[in-house]
Amino acid sequence: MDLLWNLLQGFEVALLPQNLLAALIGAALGTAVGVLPGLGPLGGAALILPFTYSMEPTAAIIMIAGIYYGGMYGGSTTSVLLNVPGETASVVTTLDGYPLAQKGRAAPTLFIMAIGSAIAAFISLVLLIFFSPWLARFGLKFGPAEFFAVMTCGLILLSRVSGGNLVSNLFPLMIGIIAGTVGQEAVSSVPRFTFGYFPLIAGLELTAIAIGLFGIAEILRTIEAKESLPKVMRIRVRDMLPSRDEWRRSWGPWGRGSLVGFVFGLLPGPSAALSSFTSYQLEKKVAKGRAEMGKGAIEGVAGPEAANNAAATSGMIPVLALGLPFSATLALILAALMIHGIQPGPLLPTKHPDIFWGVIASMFVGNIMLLVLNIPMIGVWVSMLRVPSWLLGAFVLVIATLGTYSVRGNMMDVYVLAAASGFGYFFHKLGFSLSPLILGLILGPEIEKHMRQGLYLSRGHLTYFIERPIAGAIWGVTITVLIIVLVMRFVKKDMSRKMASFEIED
Amino acid sequence: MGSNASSESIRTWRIGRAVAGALGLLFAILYLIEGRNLDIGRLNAPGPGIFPLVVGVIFALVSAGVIADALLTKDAGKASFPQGEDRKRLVTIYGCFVLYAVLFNVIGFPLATFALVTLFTRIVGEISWLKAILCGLGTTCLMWVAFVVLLNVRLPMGIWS
Repeated sequence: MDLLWNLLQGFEVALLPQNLLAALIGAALGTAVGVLPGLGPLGGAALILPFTYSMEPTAAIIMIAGIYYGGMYGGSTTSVLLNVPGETASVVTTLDGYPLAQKGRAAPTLFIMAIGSAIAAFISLVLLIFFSPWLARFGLKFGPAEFFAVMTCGLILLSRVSGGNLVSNLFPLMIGIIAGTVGQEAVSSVPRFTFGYFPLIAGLELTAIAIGLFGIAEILRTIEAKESLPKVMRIRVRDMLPSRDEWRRSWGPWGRGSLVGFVFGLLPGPSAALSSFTSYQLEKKVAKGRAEMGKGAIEGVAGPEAANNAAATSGMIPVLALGLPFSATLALILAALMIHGIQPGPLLPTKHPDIFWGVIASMFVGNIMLLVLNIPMIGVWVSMLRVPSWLLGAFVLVIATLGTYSVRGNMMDVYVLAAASGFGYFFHKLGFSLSPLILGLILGPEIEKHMRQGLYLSRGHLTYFIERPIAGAIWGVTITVLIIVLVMRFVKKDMSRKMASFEIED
Repeated sequence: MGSNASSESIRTWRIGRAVAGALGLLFAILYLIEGRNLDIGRLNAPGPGIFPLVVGVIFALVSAGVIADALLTKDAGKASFPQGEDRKRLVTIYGCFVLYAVLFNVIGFPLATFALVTLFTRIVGEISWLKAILCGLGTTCLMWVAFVVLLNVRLPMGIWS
């Protein structure tokens, strides 16, 4: 009963005009950045981050979350129409989405994707509603040892299971953690690594680094080669209705994909990309039309699309209930909360029920908006594919700089932005993953805080960090997973190679 | 020809990552040296220097790992950077952006933004100077309305301050 009451209160918050507007803008911007070439949901969320600083915390989180799941949908549109995935989680959608478009079924495929994404988000949200209070109660048993274990193990697992080789993830992760140590230290206010330069006392600004790494570096990559505008087919709303057979074949993949996505969203790693890949593999085994998979089977689109949206939704659970993001976009949501002085974690539902339940309820609202935006307005999004990248690039460069400067009015942040964009370009070229850098930057100071608190509490006994039951179990599970990954590598080399091809920028 | 290009991109990957690892190692050493000025404290009362010491050492080890991986792995990746005109365009645009960041506070946001957008659209879009100047003017006005008028952000205005 309490749960229902809390949810109703959440809807009361989500339906406030400013929050509705935030959800609408977030969903629309998310779809746009997903569709537009050269700017993924992560770059879009990073660009929006400075503008959310002056907003109410609930509206800010609602907007960034809207960009996140809006981007998941928008990215798939280009997968179907152009065979170009808008973001990593949509790579799998190209396998059957593009062949379906070539068969003249692009419009119904986009419809199936929109409905499937919404259904998956709703299933994931219902599970999230039942799961969150339990996780929050569980989280109340967390002390410094548990938080230290869950954050450290999360980062270790992320580095190991994300695909690519170990150092490709660990190297940027450590750079992020080290960047997080610059500036005034939180416990005793001692300035560290500032070299007496005053603007560095406040530390390196997350926004500048995130926008540089994911927004501008992406623009630099798109201007490398001369572009030719893609030929985009016309999509009319009246052509979008799927056939009875397509409807019938989509229900199963939607349900299975939603469950797969929900589970993956709770785990460290590029959950959206991995869940869509797993869902595709599952459909290849169980779907009625499995013989057609890879040649244009609707199941190959319905399942993965449901999975990546469900993962985007359930990924909010560890962020809100434990303060633990498992992807860079979720890390930006965490950062937005922390900037407003709100500490996500087990106490969030009781201390800030308006934010906790408001954000959950707003995701229902946001997904309905996404549906409304994407079905009748599909023509608008498709026409955005004709926006030349040079015009978009110029806009992004300017908005990124002005947005970064507006956060603190500090020129240091603009210099960091310029440096981070060059750094992001080279690191991406050399095959390093960039998401761990952002996670390290955000979680590094938190890990330090819990480590030092733990040492104080235990009077310097290092065993404190593993002897408490939950912390011990987390370390145990991590070691087990690492061993399994190692064994799997030898057993299934082919599988690892496929996983390695996934980047982790989701 | 294809095989040459492939071995060249593997070589670029190896050299690039080895250089990144070496720079990381150098940075880690400097970081640890600078971190010596911070109080480590004791295990039961850790100071502000303990965490940088731990992460500095790990970073040095990881950087060494990057170098070893780059030089020794049999499973090397591929990396290629643009050549000729493409490289020239990229370097020019990045140079313009760095210059924009540096001059942003000196000549002010309107002039710097106008110059950046004009150059960017002219070089990347290969449109006429007139169209590029119009793009520059339009974007600057739009940004001024969005940031200064609507969002009330105090931006450096240069000669218009």
